[in-house]
Amino acid sequence: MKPYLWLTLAFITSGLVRIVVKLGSNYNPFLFIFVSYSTGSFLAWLMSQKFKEKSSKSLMKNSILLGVLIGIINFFAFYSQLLALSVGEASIIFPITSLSVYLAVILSVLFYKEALTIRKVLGIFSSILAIVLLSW
Amino acid sequence: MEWLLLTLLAFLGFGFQDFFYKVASSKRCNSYLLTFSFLLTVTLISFIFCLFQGLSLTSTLLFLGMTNGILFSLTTLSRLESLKELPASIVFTIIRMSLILVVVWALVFLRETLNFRSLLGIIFAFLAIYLLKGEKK
Repeated sequence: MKPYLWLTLAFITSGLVRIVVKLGSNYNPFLFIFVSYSTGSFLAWLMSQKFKEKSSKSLMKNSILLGVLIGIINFFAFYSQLLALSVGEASIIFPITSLSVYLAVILSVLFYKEALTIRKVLGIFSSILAIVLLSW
Repeated sequence: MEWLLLTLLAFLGFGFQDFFYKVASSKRCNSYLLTFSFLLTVTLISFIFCLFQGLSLTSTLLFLGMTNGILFSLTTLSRLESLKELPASIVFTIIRMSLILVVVWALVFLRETLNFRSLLGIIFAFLAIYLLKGEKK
């Protein structure tokens, strides 16, 4: 599947996730996450069986270990945000955490030497403005 | 200032999470296996938290949770696959602009009104997508 098709799918599903999470925000977050992620992990397992990729044992091991690491970080980031929301203003907290994606962009530029063209910088700057205007 | 420290922790956590997607893609990790491992890890941790809270499951929560689970696994998988071919600066920025879909949903289904600030935000979001869509590595 071409990369921009994957990106379009990521864009659409990410937007839909935000909508469903908004709808689910009235429920206990841990229970919501448990149901969500257990469903998602089952689906991911099914897909891993259906679309079997040829991977070496070390690559499979790396995939599993990185998945565990991402899972631990994800949960505790979410938990920190939840605790922050219990003592702070959502209108300030959500815009800040929404900008976390740019930390990943900066790290990718630093460690993977991704090129930053003027067009990309303008695009990133526009997206930051969009987030600030839409989140506040 | 407790909220600020917690917010910054969340900021760092989510940021590093996204960066590790990039790391995984650069190593050509098995996206399906990684997604399964990631989601299973969070399932187990959240299960432990649920055990201490004595929670009850409603049909609405079950429906919303399962829907979110399907969507989230697809978003994780597609994010990993797109990162294998496209730079993080394009992938993460465009995915973040999915905020537009939430605004449109709120306008259509919640009958919210579009104020000038939100309209400007949408314009900048489309501008960001336009500027980044044509970029290659």
